[in-house]
Amino acid sequence: MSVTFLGMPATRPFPRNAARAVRDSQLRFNLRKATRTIRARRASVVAEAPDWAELREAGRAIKEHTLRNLDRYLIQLEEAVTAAGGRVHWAADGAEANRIVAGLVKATGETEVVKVKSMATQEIGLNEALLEHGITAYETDLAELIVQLGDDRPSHILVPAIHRNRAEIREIFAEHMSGWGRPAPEDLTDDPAALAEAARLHLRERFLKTRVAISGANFAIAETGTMVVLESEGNGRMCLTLPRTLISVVGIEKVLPTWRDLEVFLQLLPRSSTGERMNPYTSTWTGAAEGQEFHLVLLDNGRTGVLADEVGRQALRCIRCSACLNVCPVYERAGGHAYGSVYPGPIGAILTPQLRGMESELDRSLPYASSLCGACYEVCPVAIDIPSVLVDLRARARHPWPERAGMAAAGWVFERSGRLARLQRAGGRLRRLVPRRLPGPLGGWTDTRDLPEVPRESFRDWWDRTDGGRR
Amino acid sequence: MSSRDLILARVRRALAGVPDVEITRAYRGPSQTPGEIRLFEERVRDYRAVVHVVDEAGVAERVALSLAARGARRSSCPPGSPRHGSPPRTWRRSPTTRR
Repeated sequence: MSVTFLGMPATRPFPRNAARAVRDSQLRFNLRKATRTIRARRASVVAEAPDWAELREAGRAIKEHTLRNLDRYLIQLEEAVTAAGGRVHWAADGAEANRIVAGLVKATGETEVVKVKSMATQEIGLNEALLEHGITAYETDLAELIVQLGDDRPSHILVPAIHRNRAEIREIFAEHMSGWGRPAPEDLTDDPAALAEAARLHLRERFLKTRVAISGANFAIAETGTMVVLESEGNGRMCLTLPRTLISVVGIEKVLPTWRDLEVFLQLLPRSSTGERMNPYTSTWTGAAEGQEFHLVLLDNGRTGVLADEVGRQALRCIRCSACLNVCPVYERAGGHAYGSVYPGPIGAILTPQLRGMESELDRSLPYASSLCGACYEVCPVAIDIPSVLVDLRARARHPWPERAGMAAAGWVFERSGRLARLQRAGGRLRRLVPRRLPGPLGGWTDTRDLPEVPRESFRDWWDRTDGGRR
Repeated sequence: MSSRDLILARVRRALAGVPDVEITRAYRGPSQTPGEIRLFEERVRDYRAVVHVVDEAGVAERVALSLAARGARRSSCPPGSPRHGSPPRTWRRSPTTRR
């Protein structure tokens, strides 16, 4: 099977990445401040909705039903988009999606594209792939812009520059904006309003000049062929409406059956994500507008493999709200880069190894990047039982050699009852030699526990000797 | 095999024997209480918008005041925006263009 690429190279295992990250006190400070702020906001707007539990249950059920009938809804979506004047392309993996998008951009004769923040295009490394074809992709979301200008990697699903503070952002703008377009003003300060204004001026030029845009979608409505994007800055709407060609790369799990289903998700997503009652901009479009070309690229890239897994498939319900990241004690300390994937945090710990497989040491370590405290499950707006999936994945990851050797030995003993009986008799005879404390590094375990006593004879021997207690 | 057929085949294989689920919509529907304008006002203010409550006759003046406060001399309106009286002389309606 080919290895699914998730926007970042899988390198060192999580514990080593995390150990390095927690030594960065600036990073820990930025993360702690940001996650706690969003967490508190989410808690207060969720508490405001008396029917949150019912919304969550409906969200879970709608997603589960859609996934159960995914083939049917994908075909319905394709028909509706086509009927509305859009063109639908299917991409089995990231490389194919990148080829399709590059081909579409080349056909327009353009070499520059503007982008709406999208996890799917990050997952497939679209910007890098386009660059190989001589096409420059400009990120227009403020945080994505910070990451792109800083030649950095995203560390959060929603706020990819969460690891940066405003002084760092000012420096990035002052140093790198000129290389990408309109430079930052000479007297740029680290006042948030000044930073936002510098980004606004820098981006405005870009919006008006560029004739091709690439987006993802939060939802795709099968019934009408409508794409839905939720955002906070208005940059998305500029990209969706101004250019002549619009290309949307959308994971196959983003489909929703009906327009009505939005009444659930437009309540669940903003409250879980930014802690707002409603996000400032919600754009919907159906097919191609007059004078515009619209292409929808439906992306698999490992998703059907996840769908086949009885326990793991629930990860496909994810609506990328990032509530699980903000609430996770491990994420709060280690930060997003430690997860080595564009999907960090608890959802990343179950999604990445499922999409990418568990060949690398990093991917095998991800299911352990959790204390199993369950906070992620509690805040998940579509009730993904992340701890259960983590435990299931742990059982499947290849374990370290001492553990495997021990398990192999135990397997050999239990395979034949004679072997077990001989070992039990040997144990019974040597019982006086068993120490109260384990030696060496294992001693830590027995510091606070007693080793169980080895019985004189096994139950089976006792049964044979006494004929079940009758002799 | 096209990628379309490949993906659909993979989906069908993955779903073989998986039971469907029922969707329960026990959440609140649209609010039935009229006159929640106060709540709306409060919510919009919460997003740091400046809210003015005026009667119909006061709309043109209010718009003109807000534009003047920004120092705006031109404004653009999409087709179909309400025309509340004639705009004050300080600003003029620019022709809207169609693509």
